[in-house]
Amino acid sequence: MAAQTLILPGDGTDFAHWRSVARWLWSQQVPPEQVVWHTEDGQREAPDLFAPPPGPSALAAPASSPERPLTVPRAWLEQAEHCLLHCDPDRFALLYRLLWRMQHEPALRHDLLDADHVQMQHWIKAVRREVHKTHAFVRFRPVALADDPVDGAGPLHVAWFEPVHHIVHAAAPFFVKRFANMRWAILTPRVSLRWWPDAPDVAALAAQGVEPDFALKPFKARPGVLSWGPGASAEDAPALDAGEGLWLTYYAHIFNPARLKVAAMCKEMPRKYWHNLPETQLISPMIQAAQARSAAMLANAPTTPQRKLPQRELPRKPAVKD
Amino acid sequence: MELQTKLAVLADAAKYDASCSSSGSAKRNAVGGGIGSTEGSGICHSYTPDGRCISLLKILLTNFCIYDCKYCINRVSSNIPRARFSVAEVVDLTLDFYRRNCIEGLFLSSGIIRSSNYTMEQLVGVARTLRLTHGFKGYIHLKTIPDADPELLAEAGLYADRLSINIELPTVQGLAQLAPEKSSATIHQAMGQLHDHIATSKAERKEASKTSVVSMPRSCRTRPTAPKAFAPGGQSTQMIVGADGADDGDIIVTSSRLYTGYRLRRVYYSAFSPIPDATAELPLIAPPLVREHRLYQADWLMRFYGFEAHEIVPAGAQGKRMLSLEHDPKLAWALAHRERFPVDLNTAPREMLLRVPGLGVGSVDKLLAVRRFRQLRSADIERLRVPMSKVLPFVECLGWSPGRRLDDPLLAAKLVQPMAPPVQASLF
Repeated sequence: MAAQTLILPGDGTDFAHWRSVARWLWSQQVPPEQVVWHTEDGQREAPDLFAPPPGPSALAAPASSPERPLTVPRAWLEQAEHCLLHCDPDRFALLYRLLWRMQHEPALRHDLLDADHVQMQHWIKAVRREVHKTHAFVRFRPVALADDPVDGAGPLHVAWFEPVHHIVHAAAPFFVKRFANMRWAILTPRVSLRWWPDAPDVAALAAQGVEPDFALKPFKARPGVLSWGPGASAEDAPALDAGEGLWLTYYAHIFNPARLKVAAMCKEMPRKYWHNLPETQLISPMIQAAQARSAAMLANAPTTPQRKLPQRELPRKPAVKD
Repeated sequence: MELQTKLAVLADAAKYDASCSSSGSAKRNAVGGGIGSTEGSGICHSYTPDGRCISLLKILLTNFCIYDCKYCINRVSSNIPRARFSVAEVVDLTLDFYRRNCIEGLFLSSGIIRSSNYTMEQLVGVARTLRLTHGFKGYIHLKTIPDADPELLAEAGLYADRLSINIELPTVQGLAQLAPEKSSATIHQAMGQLHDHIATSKAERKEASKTSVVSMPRSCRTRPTAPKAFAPGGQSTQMIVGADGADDGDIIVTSSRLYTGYRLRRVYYSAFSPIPDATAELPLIAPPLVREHRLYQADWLMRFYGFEAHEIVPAGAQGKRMLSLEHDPKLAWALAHRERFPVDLNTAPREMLLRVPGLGVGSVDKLLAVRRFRQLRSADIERLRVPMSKVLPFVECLGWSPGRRLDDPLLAAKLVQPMAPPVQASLF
């Protein structure tokens, strides 16, 4: 069978689509080494001259019935869905290769230390970690709008964030649940999210320009719609405000200069996130001053109290025996 | 005083508290109203150059204090600037930082003003306002005043996710010497009260979830309403390391007692840190950060690896029981018990795999899962992504045997991490 070149729609993270493609490839018994995977987005940035034009792919051809049905543990499917959110262009090939191998090597599904499995787990871990870091490092700034409601929902809170992987949708439920009554938006280069806490349903947002296909009512019993749209740029987000000034004050003062551990900080707060975190501009001066500050603490002679201390009856203590 | 200045003073005063955890509480969210959520595990929203995370807004309500604990920057005899927040200011700050997604909640502590009860009332007031007035669902950790009225302690537990009482020093003598107004007995008594409250509340909730109620026809209530959880995140404590003469053995044994006696979730170790305006009674030293780190590792071994306190710190020179500064406690234990190694990855029981230096709980679970289906080979150790130099001398599997490495008298020296030589500061 000739090599297959496939172009997945958008960024390729549509799991249902990838799954149908994989099924089709299996039905045609196309071995993994003969498949070349592309995404529409990837083609736009760095086109492969030999790739077919995007559009209805060879999938349209009627699938012949597979030699054997494709079977895979349910848990693996969930993991594969997560893995697809990684930005590595080789992820499609790896997943199909694992799928293929699992059909031929039944013991493979239990082998957590197989090289392909280890790679897959490594990518899933990176995705989970970034979802977690998104929960941590998305920072909202309030924007007063002319139409701010007086119902307590308050101003619109807007955040600008630049994830490496395709995790925006995976990170969204956290914010929906945590800030269910707050109006907020998360802008990223590839996609923007907006939460409408009072919208009764998706249809109610048509007048606001929200397309029904790009909106979701996540809860049964309460209002609120999550909508998503095209990417944005950093300029679309509000600038630092006075409230964030308080945050910077807190950051500078909760730091103990006598305990410098810069490597530990960088491990947990990778530099790629720094330019969107306002407090990181304080790091360099804080480190520079730390040595002098703790040296000064050590050098200064202990002081005697300036205030007149209250004379208090100390509780009587029994003699301490060793 | 301006809010910004107060925040600076009262964050400065709180930075010696080691606890930052916001995990382990009941799951909640704002879907039904209010604001905020707690997930199973906490989120660190930022990190400072001291390597510690910012998860909670950690502040003191006030740094005025009538006590004179020698190690504490807020003691009555220190000349630092003082400030005091109002209850409303703390509530507003917490909510504003929370809406910006800078924090998971609040860790509120305070100097003792007027009396223990008065101070505790103020702390509880902040938590009550956050929970009842604003429907705040985020994490609240309250530092409890040990000799406050038990009723206040009980109310605190209804609003807080976690309560803590600092044990401060590992020995009664240390406390008597450095914290003259604090009493070991009172601290233990308060910890006991909290433990009882937490255990009772847990048992009641478990009971309520089991029993069904006889309900009216068409009523959808089939279970009684569960009683309110009391401090679902449990209680924790902090011990200052290196301010008195206690050795690591004292510290580990004390911790072990607290874990078993009061079911504490965490014991935090805080290397005594030079503070501005220190008292003449404490010599100023660079903080023994490595020692603190080793204590955390030892603590971990007790909680997750099945080690007993006495195994981790054997008696050393001059009767001092100190953890090795060059080697982590598990590696130190393995080097001292080479006769128990090498461990065969294909046949050893879980307990023994957990004693292999460099193998964590996750790696051990993976090995156990895989070896049910096939033999483990040397390539598998690499794929675990564990520190090879530490693991290899202590294990064997298909295609790998450490040979005579274990007998090498230089093995211990070879396994010292290349880093700035740790220095154990001597205080007395």
